[in-house]
Amino acid sequence: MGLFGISKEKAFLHTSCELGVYRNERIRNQYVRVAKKLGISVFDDDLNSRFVCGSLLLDLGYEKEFIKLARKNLSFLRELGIKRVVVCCPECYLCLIKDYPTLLPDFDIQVDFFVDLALKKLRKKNFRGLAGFSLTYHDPSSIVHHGLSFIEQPRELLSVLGHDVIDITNSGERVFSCGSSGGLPESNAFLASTVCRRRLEELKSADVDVLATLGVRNYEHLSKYASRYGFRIFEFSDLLSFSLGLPVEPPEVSEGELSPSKYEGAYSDELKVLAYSSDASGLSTVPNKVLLPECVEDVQKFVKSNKIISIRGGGSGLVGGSVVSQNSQEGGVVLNLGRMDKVLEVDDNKEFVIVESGVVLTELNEVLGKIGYEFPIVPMSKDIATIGGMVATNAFGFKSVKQKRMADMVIELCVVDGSGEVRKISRVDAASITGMEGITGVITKIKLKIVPKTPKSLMIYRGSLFKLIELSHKLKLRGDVHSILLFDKHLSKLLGLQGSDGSGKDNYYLFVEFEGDTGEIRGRAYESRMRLLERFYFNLAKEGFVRMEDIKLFLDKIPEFDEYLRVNKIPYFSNLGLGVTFPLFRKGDLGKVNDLLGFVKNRMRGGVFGGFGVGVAKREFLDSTERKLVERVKKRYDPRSKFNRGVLITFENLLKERGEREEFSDFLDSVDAAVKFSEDSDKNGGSE
Amino acid sequence: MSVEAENAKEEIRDLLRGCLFSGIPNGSCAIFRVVKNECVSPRGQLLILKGGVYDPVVYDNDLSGSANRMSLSSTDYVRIIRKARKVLVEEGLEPESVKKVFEDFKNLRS
Repeated sequence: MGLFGISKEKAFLHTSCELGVYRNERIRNQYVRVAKKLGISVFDDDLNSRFVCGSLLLDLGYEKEFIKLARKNLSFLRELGIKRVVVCCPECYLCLIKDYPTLLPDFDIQVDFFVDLALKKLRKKNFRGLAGFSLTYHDPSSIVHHGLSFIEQPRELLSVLGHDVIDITNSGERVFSCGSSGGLPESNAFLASTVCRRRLEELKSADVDVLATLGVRNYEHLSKYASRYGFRIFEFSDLLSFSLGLPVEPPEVSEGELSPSKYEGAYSDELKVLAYSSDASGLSTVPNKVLLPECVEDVQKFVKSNKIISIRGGGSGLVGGSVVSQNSQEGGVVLNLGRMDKVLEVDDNKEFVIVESGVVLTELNEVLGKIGYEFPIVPMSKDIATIGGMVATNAFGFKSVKQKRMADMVIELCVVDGSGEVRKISRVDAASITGMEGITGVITKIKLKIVPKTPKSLMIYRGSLFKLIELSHKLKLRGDVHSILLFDKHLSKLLGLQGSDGSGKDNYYLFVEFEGDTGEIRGRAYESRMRLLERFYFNLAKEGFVRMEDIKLFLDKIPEFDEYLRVNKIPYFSNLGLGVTFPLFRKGDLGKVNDLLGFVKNRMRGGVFGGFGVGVAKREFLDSTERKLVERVKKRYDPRSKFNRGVLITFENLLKERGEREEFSDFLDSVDAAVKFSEDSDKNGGSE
Repeated sequence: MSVEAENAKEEIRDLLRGCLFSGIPNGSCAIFRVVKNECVSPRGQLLILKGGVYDPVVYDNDLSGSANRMSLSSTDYVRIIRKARKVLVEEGLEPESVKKVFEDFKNLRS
């Protein structure tokens, strides 16, 4: 027996903290009753009410006070002889399992998660619940994203209780938070409720009317709006109580006030210019100002009233396309189109979709997925890449053989040109915008082809490079091949494929994705492989690769290129469908990049594919013909060179290389006068 | 400025050193999804801190951990934001609603 006559074998049950805006006596009481019913030996609940683990304090920045509290709690548990804590709340569990041991090196208390224990107890009893609800489950981000991966256990528990779990796409590892964590409801209740409503909107796609979640904070936060979205919401203690024949206390329903679906934060210019000072290229310049248009009229107004503009979508470019030119003496503004994010029309015949340029690809595909369609060009940055940005860079799909680049999919564009006028660009003229990286105008609206979403299957071939290239020649002639990817020995390991067999020759792998069920890997096994492939991009960075080139070569040239890469110890993978090879470089190997580009140009008769764009970083690789073409189109759409200065061509070069500096400057002055006239007209209520 | 705040800033500078600012974690951020402003995105908040600005904007964040999971450079985003909040607390610049939580806590303990 320990102090106060308490058995040392008993665990301390921590249901949740009595701190912050969400406290729920009902759920706490239910957990105590469920624990007793399941035979989880715990102390009485009056002890629990005295215990605050303090996760909220730490999240809100009160680190010193948190450490003091954690030290007190550890002494408290030791005094009572408690060696084990069972935690019901996901946030508290995360805090006790990760933060306590980090900040208190002598923390020696065993921490168990209630859901995990309950599942084990019910399994042991071979418990099977009666037919329950068809429900969807909102994963608490605290037990999914922080390396704990409690994804399967809650679902399994729901299944044991007799419920049928219908997951939406963004669940499990892909779950979006509902805004209940990190002290957000305490610090910005309005924003927290907007985030909550967006999550509920998304959960509706499960097409069920019951929502289950875990923990007091998630439950109370989602409860505020759940009924407005047609959900009955239950916390796990409710569902466990139902199934175990325990009383379920009726919840107190208090609906929250509705906030707008978009949040208008009052963020200062000082914050905005820093937040938009860089993109994925790592190039960085602080702009003079950041503009966030909501509609075409805003774009026109901003174009007319600013001289130097960098157009930005998701900021996922690797070549500095959306960073204000570092050479610009006058600075410039960033025009971010992220808030123009509406899917405007999905064609009744499902042939096209019309979107605003700030729509993120993944969000577009969520909309199209509901009607069994998709947009097939999927770059590796699909979760942040905007459609406008993809058109501007003529992005290519990581995999697709049939739909090679954005230019194949664009039907029509609306663009605001350098004078602030809206131009409708037909498919024939779209080439003057697609791939021009924003130097010819601001894309505001796009009409795109869409394709039916078909089930796919996979084959993985292993063999010598020659054998696999020969095979891919044949595969490219088939009509049902979706993608052909080749991985060298090093990268195969990152995909969980077998490494060297000792011969050194048969260590190449070919991933061939088929439309339909031709491939042997199908269904869940296929999904699992595809998830690995998605993670591949992340694993590259985690392996220390900081740069990737995109080299276009004929397939027959790949063996010679492979030899060069092997000798120089440069790992690579190839999209054989597109004929593009991606050599990868670690920080210490960046010196090899120029040698490689020289080898490709001089010996292989290949070139840079430009799939990642040219931007600022690679503009010197444009040859004179390409540069002339760019200049010509630039002059037609943006003679004053307002847009994306430094991208593809420099402003100074634009003047110098034309050999018309004075003449061109005079021309620009006349354009300035025209712009000024237009602005004055605007101020005076229009040009009439 | 307190030693605690100065130490926290130093730690943030260290933690930011290896960050790639790729923006990939933005795609998993529930806050950025509704606000569509980099001031609240994982990348944007880190760029603001890199610029040496400590502002209550770091409270417009749910610390969901998705940014840690998606970070290409294994940047500990949650830790950085908690440290930035610590700086604000040390300087008395946390939002009033946050101060109230702390007052409640003190009352609870007493």
